[in-house]
Amino acid sequence: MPESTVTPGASQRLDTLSPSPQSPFSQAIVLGGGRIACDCLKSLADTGLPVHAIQNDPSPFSLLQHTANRPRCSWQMLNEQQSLTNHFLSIQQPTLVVSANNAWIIPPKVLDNPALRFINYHNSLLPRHRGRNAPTWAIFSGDPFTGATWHQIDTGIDTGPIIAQKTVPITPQTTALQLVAQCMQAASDLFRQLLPRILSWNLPNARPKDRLTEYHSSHASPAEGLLDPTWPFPKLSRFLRSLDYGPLDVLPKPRLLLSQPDPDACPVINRYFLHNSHTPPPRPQTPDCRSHVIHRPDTSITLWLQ
Amino acid sequence: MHDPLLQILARIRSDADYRNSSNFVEDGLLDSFDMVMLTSELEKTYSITIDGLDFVPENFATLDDIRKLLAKNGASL
Repeated sequence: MPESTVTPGASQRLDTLSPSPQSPFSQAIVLGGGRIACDCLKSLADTGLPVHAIQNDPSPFSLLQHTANRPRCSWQMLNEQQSLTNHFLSIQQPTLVVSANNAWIIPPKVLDNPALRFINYHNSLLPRHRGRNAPTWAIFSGDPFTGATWHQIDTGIDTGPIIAQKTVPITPQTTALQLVAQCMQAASDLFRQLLPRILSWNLPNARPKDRLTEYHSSHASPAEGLLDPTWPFPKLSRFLRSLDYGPLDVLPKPRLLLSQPDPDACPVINRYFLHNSHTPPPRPQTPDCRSHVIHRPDTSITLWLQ
Repeated sequence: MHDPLLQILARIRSDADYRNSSNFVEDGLLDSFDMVMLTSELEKTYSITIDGLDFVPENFATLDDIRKLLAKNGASL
């Protein structure tokens, strides 16, 4: 993992947030799934606060239920919007809600429940790259770094007051999948650091000045998912790495733009290799794959197409 | 640690004791995201594409299970 640091100036510094010994919360809810939700649950459970995990992603791989199998913790699956809304509207005791890897957009009437206080993890340095698949957009944009943001939730999407941020560098080799992992680790570390302040609810309340930055929808892909082989090498590399989520189907696989007028007729790029021009890439093991090589002065890109 | 598979696993979770686990998933050594990262590393290392239908916890429970998964998907071990 690369070294991460709290971003100076991007949000209120951790050391300027004064802790309070009193917590207004009698319980916490972790809403979401995946590793970051598990890590938050563990950190909260270590404080002795009762923690309820609500998983809203029915992934059979999630370890959230397994992680919640500890004293004063519980777990339930709620993956329908109405069930989630009803559940949160029914809560009357002061509750901290930690949204971590949660795709449910919390409706205003739930946010208005006076018993609830919400924070959310976002995998970019807000206000940059609001919305979905932020690592893709950070890489494709050529950002030298991105990071993890914890923020309060308001009625906008990723627009609430920023609590704290931690940066993660983006190298010329970083893929979207690697960046997801690095941002999650940064978020877990930051959450553990911030926990005393979060539990005392002594948090900054200022919204970012330019909070309504460009919003990325879940279906949007850089360059509409089409690789133009005439691009310069850095852009080719950024494009391919920005859509590289390994085996996950986060976004459609990129296609190679040739002469076809119909984008759907362009061949799908199954794998890619960025390599020295003198070093041959591995041979495809799938017989129905064909390769296409894009040459540049010192570097080549080999694409396996289908 | 000479086993290349153990080296890859150590890159995924350096603090996990894979040798003394009988089930990496049930013992909490690998979570869902670890399995994604591991699959990506295996595909790059062995130049294979792992069938999406094989992406189930049973195929990541032990070193032998992962080796069988690699062999099934055409890796030269």
